[in-house]
Amino acid sequence: MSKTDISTDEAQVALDLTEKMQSAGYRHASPPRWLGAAVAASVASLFALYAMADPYPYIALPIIFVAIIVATARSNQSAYAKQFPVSKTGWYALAGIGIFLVLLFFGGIYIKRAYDLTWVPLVTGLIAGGAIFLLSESERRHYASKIDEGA
Amino acid sequence: MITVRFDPVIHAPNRLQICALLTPLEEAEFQLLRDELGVSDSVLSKHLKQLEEAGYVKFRKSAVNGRQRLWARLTTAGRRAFAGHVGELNRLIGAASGSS
Repeated sequence: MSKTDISTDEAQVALDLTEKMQSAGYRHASPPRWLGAAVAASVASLFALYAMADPYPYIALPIIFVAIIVATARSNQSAYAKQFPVSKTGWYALAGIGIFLVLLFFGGIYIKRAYDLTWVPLVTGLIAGGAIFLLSESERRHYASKIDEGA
Repeated sequence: MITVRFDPVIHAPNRLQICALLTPLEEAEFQLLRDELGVSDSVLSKHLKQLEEAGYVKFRKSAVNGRQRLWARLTTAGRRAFAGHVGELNRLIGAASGSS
């Protein structure tokens, strides 16, 4: 570290520049809306497949589709946002969502089999897809607010 | 005027901007950094090399559709140094506004 004697005006200019560049970083990393919608639709279809009598020949399809769309989105981006939460709260939220989706998935399958209600996986699929889409929109709003901070 | 301690590597405006751009990101492509900073390839390379030598930036190469892409990311040390530098800038401004 070195000592320096820059003025407060210079320091303010440096901070403004910093915010502007961080805002640019968020702008480039903001995921496209179609990506959230496509991932949500894939997850919803994965859940809904269990409404079929024999879903197993098809369960790889939504997983492959997610892999393809994520790879396509990444190949078109020149910057990637951080993949994992930076705060403890973020990790708790991620774990909570993961547990919720797992419970929803297996709960739907159990209810369908126990009570012979074939429509239950369709409903759990809609709930899971909707939750993922809302999460992706919330992430986009977070980026938008960060972009505005530097505007 | 108070005495503050800035990181000499990050203190240069271009390197400060590089770190600021990379902070919210996992990684960014060379071309994006160049365009946002408005500098030439050689100027950006020079600054990135200095950041790499300080252990603040790491690179990754990838080929997409036959095109080579160079990606830069801030290391943990880089993130810490940048946060410290911005903290000093804020401290300087805070001290000045407190004394006025």
